[in-house]
Amino acid sequence: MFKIAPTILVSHQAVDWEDNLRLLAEVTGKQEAAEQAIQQYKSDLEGAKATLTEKLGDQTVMAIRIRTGKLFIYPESVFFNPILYGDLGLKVPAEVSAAKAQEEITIEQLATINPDQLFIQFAADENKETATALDEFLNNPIVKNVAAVKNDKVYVNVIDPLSEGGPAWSRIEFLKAALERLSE
Amino acid sequence: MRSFKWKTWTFSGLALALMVVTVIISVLHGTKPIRYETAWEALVHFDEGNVDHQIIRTSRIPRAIGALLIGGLLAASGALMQGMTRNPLASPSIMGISDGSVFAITLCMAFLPGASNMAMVGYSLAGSALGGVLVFGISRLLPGGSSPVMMAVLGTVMGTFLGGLSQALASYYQVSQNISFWYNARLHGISPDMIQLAIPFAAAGLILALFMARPMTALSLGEEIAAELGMNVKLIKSLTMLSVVIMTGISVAIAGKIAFVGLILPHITRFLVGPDYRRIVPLSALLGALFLGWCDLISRFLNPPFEVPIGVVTALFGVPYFLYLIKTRGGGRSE
Repeated sequence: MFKIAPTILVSHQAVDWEDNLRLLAEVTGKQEAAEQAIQQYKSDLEGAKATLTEKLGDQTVMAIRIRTGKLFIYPESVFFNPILYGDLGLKVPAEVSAAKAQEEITIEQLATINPDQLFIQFAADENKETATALDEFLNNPIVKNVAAVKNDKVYVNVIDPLSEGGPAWSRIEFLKAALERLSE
Repeated sequence: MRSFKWKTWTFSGLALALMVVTVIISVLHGTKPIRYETAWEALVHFDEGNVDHQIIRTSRIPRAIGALLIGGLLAASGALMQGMTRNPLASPSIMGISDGSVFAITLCMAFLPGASNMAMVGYSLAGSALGGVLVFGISRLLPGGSSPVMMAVLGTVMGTFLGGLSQALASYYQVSQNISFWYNARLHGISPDMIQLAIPFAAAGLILALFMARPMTALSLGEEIAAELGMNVKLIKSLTMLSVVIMTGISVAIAGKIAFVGLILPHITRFLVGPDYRRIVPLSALLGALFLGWCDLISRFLNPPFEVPIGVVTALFGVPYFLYLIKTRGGGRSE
């Protein structure tokens, strides 16, 4: 017989983050700390939501990822999107609702969406041969005319660029960073 | 013959006119709705701060020109290869030439990171030469290796081998995601600079191709016949390969690997204008340009709001046609 050590499957889906944290807390016996972190997240959210919704009104806020020099967006339930659109209740761009998985978008498409605030995650590890992709992107004459870029509302790597909003840490940290930038 | 000549001029004129129409449609239609007046203004009263003007100038125009250019280069490459090998299944993507190019670019990324665009073009050309030499070399060594299907199989095997090597190297040196960047064709990323870089190569490759078209007609009847007609078969073959390598190499370097253009269009052209390569080569280029131009347009509207990779669109047309060709011309018989 094969012997397999006790294995616990953990979802990396952003929407499962609370259950995940509770599960890991149970394994390590830190239930209290976990509940506290979840409560903290929720109260941060409640405190900011009302003012933010009013302040941003109809603005389009979007998070994209640059990998291998290409632009990617994600479905509503993946990446930072559950925080931006689910928790903070911001307006969901049509392209994000239409995304079924990671989808590449063209620069022309980004200009069509014309986000007012843009979060970019750019990891050097994912852009080894396209190290200048971020600069090229920001200096592209089309991109320069996108509202977020024109008005200096582009936020690059507000948290570690490889954390993608799934597990508790990246969720909590992204919310903090996003609130700070969006309420400026 | 007269009717073929008349036909050639008609088709060429028609293709050129349609090309102009294709460029206009490609420039006017994309993800972002842009009014005709705005597009016109982008040309005559360019405003740097107008996003629509920038889209027209820095994205849609180079993309439209790029699609036509690459379509033309690949179809002309395919026509020359089919003539030279007397193999109706020959084309750059099937005969290992595109894969050789991707392989060389992978090597370059793994061992010489940060190479300039120009250097990439050089590696791309060298790689397509390598792919071609491997496939043609092995087909000579094997008994029956130059029958149409055998060569296509060899080309596919060699292409898969080079592709596999590329991927192994890529994952070992952790540049794999960047390779997929070269694999997945990306017409939408073509910038005006890339077009400028490509034009001298494209012109050199196409001019050489047109020069080779005349001896190609004799060569397509068989090497013995060509030799009896007093032709230097080796020289003709080498120059033809050079032309194919330049045209395919530059296409892969600016847009990645796009399959089936080089396979289908020469056949359609031969069907339209007959067996004379002086007509097949230029008209294949024109029709190939049109074909890829329209595939690119289709790719924007097949799955809105996202674009479909160009390779998927060419495969939609290419795969059924390839199967049809294997069924009708694949057996030992060359045409």
